[in-house]
Amino acid sequence: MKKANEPAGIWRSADRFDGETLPTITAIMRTRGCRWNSCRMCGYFEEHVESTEEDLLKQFKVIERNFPKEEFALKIFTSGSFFDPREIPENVRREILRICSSYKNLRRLIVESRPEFVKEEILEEALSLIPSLEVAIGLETSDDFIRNFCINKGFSFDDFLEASKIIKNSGAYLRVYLLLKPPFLSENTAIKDVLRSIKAISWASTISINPVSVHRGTEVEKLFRRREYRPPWLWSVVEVLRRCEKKANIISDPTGGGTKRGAHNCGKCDNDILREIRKFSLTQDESVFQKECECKEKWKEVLELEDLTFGTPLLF
Amino acid sequence: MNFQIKRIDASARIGKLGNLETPAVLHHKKIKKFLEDHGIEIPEIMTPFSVAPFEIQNETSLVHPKKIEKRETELLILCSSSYMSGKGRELFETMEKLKKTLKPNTAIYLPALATPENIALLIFLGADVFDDLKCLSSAMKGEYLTRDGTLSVSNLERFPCSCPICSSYTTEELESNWRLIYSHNFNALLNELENVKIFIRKGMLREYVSKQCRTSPWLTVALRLYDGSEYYFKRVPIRRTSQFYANSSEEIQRAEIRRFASRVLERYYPKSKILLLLPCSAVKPYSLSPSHRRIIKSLGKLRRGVDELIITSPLGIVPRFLETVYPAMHYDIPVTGRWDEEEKKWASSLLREFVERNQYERIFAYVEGDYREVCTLSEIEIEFFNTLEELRKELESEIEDVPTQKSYMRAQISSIADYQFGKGTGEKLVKDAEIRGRYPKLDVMVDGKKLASLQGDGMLSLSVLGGERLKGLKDYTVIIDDFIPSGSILSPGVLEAGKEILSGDEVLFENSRVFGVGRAVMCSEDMLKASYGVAINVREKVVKE
Ligand SMILES: [Zn+2]
Repeated sequence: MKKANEPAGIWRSADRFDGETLPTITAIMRTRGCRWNSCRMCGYFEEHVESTEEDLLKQFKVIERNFPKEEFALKIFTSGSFFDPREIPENVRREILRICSSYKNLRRLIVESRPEFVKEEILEEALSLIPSLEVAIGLETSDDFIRNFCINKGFSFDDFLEASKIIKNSGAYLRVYLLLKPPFLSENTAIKDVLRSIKAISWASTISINPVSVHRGTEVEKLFRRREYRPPWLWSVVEVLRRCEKKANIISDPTGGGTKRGAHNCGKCDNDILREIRKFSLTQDESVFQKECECKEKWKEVLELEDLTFGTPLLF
Repeated sequence: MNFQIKRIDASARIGKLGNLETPAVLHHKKIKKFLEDHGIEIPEIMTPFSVAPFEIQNETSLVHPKKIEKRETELLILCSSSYMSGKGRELFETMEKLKKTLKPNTAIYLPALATPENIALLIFLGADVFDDLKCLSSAMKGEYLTRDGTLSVSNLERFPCSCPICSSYTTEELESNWRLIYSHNFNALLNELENVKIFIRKGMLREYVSKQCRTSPWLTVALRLYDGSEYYFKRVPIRRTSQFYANSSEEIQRAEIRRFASRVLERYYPKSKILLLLPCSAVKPYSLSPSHRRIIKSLGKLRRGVDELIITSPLGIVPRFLETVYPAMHYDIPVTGRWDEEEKKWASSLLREFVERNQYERIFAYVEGDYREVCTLSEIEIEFFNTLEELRKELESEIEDVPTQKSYMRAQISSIADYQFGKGTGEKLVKDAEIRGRYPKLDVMVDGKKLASLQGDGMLSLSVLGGERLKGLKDYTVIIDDFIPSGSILSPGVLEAGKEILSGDEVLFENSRVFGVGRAVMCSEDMLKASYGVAINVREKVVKE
């Protein structure tokens, strides 16, 4: 039973900010859910509940109890938009920001939002309380066709540029999520798409590469069940991290990595590679990628040949 | 670049696409070059089989299974076709729709689908270009492909194959090196491709596919759907010189069998008031078999006064006059001496319908065993005779006027003409004609000139003189463009084509300058749709004054 007054999840990890590693608290709040809620691969709507302002504040109280004594970063995710007043009413938003501002050891606050909810006044107000605010936008790709047809994201690259300008001008940090291998792209095209996208947004503070994972009840899951979609190989994540332009901080933490529903390789090398990916995310050091495995040959063939099936995974 | 069809066997074909002989299997290292040569760009966004494509995808040489539409191209790629592996209905329905929509002279490429097991069926359904991608992806999964299906290489102790790979490596070596498995898979696929080509050249791919589709239920599903398809029915030729094998009772569903039955019912009419039912024989035509010769000898000229009808499987019933017609003279079945229920039902229902359509005064039968059971099952009134002597006596008292040998022969030719061109045409063709030759090779002559001849395949070929007797026969006439053809008439020269024309049919062709006869290579629909290829092989023509 989902409780409206408890967050969907809280966990602790480490992240890299401006060259230093900080412990990070990630908290998923249960809200009414993303207003768009139409992306092909998104399954987060599952988490939504009709939470009142009071519920939301109670959720935050639970999160607050997890704050550490040492310096830390906090990620508040709603699986939607933190700045959407329908999800987080203005009062609640202000209260959360106020409480956060009272923690001097909070070095960075990260929230997510779709571009349409990024407004100058809101950012100004937020930054006056939390100067180290970081706003994350799920751009997914810089390619409008791919974003429209393969993801159905509902905003354009121009919409993103406008929002990111507001974020940058306000002085907040900008984090961008890119999706690796949305449906209807071959493995090779997917890599090319992410590399292109990284180049197109090189002025972001942090770019997070998110390999698609198959969530329950999504369109992508239907494809996956019919063997018409295979999540990306972990080799592809490594390939992106190795080859991409590194003006921004490039990170990746593959959800469901190493499982059939997440980015995966042959099963034998997955854990080692995931470890390397995490290590890279913290160090930005390409030399962490040492692992070799016999499945890499297969992945290379997939890169070379998957386009030639004209729409179906070469190897499921 | 053009796709030239060199040889057709029902819907399968051997052709030439540029300098690629089809059916062809492309090596994965050569696919990109192949696409380039055909000016095909690979789109970035491609939807899988079950998702309709987006509007932005408009490469003319690509078509998506969820949005099949007309394309002006010599080569067409069916996107995401590998999804159809293991799915008989999807495969059949997609291919049928594709074939219906495209011009006949469009080469069809099914990427990442072909295996040694399924390629015969894919070619049979009318696809032309394949690749080895499935051989490769299967190898990566440790799947060892054979004509009889997929084996897991880790379960193999020995190889059921003697290709260069399988004869030089051990199963352990293959298990640890998928590239070796791939090489075997590819060899097996090429092997099977050559096999299929041999059967196309023999005109017997159907016989091969009937056997080959038994390896998997999904292949059998596709073949069953094929047998129920009007589109594919029309592409099965009206005649072949090759043997017709019906090794399972399912073959009753074949176009040749259904077509023969419906023409016997619709295009044949009685030549006597008496019907005589006889059993079939292994030797064809029946009348040359020892058992029938005995009957013929015993009944003598009386035989000319009755309509003989032979009971057989899987054709059901064959009028004596049509015993040479394809596939009556060409079929071979496993004779166990016992009919299965399906065969009995089919033959008896045809017999019943034949008798209902044709008013006979008396029906005699000289049959026993299962043949007799077929007669009984038909629930018609039959007088059975146990000896030829009794039968002969009864006929003697019943028949007053026995037709002359000449008119009897004319009636036979007339019946075959009716079978080929429709009821009533035979009378026109054989009027005052004389039949010469040694059965079953006969010439139809008038005033020393040939009207038609009965060929080795048991059906009639027309001379221009014979053709003139059939003038006005719309269903089998092709109106051609304003030119005088020489050896063959190409499909772009066809303006109108009689709706009954099938591949192998005798046709009349005409325009303001010329009239002639020939043999159709395509059905009428394809003659009109194809932008290239031979429609008619001309036999004889007269230039009009
Ligand atoms: Zn591996």
